[in-house]
Amino acid sequence: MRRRVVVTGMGIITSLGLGKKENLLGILEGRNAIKDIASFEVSGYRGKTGGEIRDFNFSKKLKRLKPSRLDRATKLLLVAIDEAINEARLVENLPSETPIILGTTLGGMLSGESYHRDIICGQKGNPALLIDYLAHHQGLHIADEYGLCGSAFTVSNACASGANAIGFAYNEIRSGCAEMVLVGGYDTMCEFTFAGFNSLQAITQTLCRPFDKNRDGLVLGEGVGIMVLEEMASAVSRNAPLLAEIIGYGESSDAFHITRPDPGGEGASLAIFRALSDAGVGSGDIDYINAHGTGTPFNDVTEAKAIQKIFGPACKNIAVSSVKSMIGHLLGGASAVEAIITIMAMNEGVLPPNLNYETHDPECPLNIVDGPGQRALIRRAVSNSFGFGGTNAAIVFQGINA
Amino acid sequence: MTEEFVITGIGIVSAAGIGKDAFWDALINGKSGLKKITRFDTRHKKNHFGGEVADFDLDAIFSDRRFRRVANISKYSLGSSKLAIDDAGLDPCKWDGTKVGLVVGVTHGAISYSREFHAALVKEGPINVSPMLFSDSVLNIAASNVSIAFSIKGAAHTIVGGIPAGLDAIAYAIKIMKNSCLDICLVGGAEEIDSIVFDTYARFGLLSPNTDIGKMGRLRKFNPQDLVEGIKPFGINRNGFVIGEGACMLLIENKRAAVARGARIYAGLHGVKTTVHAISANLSGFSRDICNNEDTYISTGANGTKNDIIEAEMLQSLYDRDQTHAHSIKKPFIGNIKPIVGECFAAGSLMQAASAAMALYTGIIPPSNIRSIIQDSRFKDLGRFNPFPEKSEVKKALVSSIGLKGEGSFLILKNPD
Repeated sequence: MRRRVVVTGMGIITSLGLGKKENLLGILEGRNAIKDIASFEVSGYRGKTGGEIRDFNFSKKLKRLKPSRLDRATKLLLVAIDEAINEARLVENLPSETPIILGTTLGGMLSGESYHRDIICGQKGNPALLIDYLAHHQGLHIADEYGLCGSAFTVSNACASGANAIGFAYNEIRSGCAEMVLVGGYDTMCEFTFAGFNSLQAITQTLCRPFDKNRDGLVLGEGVGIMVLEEMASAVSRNAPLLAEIIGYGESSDAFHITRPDPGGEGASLAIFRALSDAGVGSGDIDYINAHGTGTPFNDVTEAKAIQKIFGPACKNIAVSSVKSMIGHLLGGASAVEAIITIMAMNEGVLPPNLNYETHDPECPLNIVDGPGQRALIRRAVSNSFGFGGTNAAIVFQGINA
Repeated sequence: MTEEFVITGIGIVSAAGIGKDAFWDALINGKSGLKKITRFDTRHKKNHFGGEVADFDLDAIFSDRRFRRVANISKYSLGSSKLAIDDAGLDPCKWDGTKVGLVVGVTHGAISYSREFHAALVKEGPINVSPMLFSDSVLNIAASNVSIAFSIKGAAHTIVGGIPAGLDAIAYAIKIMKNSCLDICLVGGAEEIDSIVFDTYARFGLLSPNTDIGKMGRLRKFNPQDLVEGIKPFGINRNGFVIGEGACMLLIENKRAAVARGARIYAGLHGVKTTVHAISANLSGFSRDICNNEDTYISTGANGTKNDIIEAEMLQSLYDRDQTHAHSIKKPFIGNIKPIVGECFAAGSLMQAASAAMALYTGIIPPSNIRSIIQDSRFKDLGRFNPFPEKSEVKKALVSSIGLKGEGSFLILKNPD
């Protein structure tokens, strides 16, 4: 019999706030969490806004790690994991062999920035390279703190990292290699990336308007999303909360260009097609698509093409939105955070809004959720993620009572 | 795991040679690629040696204008990928790219471009930074370039990890091949040497020779005789590693498909284990594969740091666990490639796998490169340390790799027949 995979715990931190409650409230209200960047000087940049996590005070008592040595990314992860394992009722009994699969594009880049800056300024004593800068350090720290001794994978496939991590974790459980997996994605706001996207002229000087005719770029954000995935029968037997089921995953690679998506949307549609086939559902079975929707001219038109190609006439009945309009693009954190928002929306019966959507773009003829608070029965949802280098991934979620 | 998947192509770009034949020749003859570093000035540094891939000419292997300006890590990856694909007798123009996957393990990524981009940002401000440097510095740049160059459309992944990341990439690739119906997967590891990484590892006492007994290194007292630079795996006088670079790509395919097309099979992937905490890993499943009455080869990851002790204890535990047939157990050959290519991090553990695959395929055990074993009676019995190459009916090989944070990965390769 096919093993089923359920989500039994979730932890989330974004610019909307700390935890599921704050984030859900923000999604329901359609709150715009994009503000002027405060963590570094932005006067020299074209765009000046971002989705920063404000007022994050790390007060968790650590058993093994020293907080002063940890990167902000690790601290955010620790708090989100606490929330997820608390919900999954695993605080005291997280099995030590639980694998941890994380997606990130930057790892501990804030530590990396201070490391690079010190060296550029002639100071050579910064040990960040050995402690919490590299992208696999955070996962190892987490394993250390929670006493895990199983495997840890850090996937870095640009903006699809988190979705690839979730897909890998889902297959680990489905194939019987694991009973439970801790999985997620994260990235922090740092000037290095901001300067990079700014130089690529990808950052908007106005608002992030996914799928709008006048969209002109993305807004960066930061955040972390963590999920506990479990084999359904074992989750049921220990009375864990069943939040959603993952029923399909698909991935592909464009093999086209480093920063531009394949304009025909071939790679993106292959990933969505594979996810739906894996789930064994048809285009009419999907009620909501949580789009990658970065708000850049290229991405959104490509994504719209891919969605149309796969869903065809069913498109007019499928609600589509990108929450990047509210919290920005979290890069490696995007997919995991968006997966959690999708599940919360599914369980709440409310569609997450696509803010700042004003002018219909004939090139993106999708049924965009143009305002907050729209109620809908979401039986199944697809979450799309696409990244630099042409990595594509799609996940199919199903409500527990669907 | 039965040998569902096999290695049919090997591509290597290393300090000891370009291409699997040059690499193997260097291993067999003990020709080290470690030399004085030329990429940056080491005159005012304590350490001077490295395993640089000097004067690498990508055009000689693979000429494509699109990749003229990419970072070294991408060049090495593109070169070794082309070599592996050619070695397997495949042609990317003819394959269905949607059935081909790619997994690349990296540790530091395109660190030279990150450093340059950041230096421009700090010194000159945000206006003049180069978008190309940024997009070519992301961690998945090597995998992206390889996927574009060879039309790999099934999946393209980058696994970030420490020294064992190359083996992690193999573990990951086996799983995605099983789950996504891929026919072929190119699996690799890639690293580039850059001055900042070199300086930092030197400063914290990880590079050989090390006269600064720092907290990180936990090395013994300084001894003038140690001033011969080089990695001494498991050595009494080991004093850190020599940094290396390069890339190694293995072409993995389904055994049935490989046999059907008459491909040369180097080795089968028999088992793999990855763990965040090597010292508490349970390797009992591997014990019988390695401790038996057949010849086996262990390619160790020992690099002259405190990791060596962990690895030695782990290997010892393989014997301790299975004492039932102790009298008939043949001690394995213990080898190490790091004195030849340096510590290449993610690329290094993949090069170890390549060396083990070559040993299985050729029936020749390369010289161990281990000369002065740790003065601990327990470790003297680890196995056979052959100073010269030996012919052997070797059936299985273990590749072991321990990272600087105590994480570890282990791979068992099996003779294909």
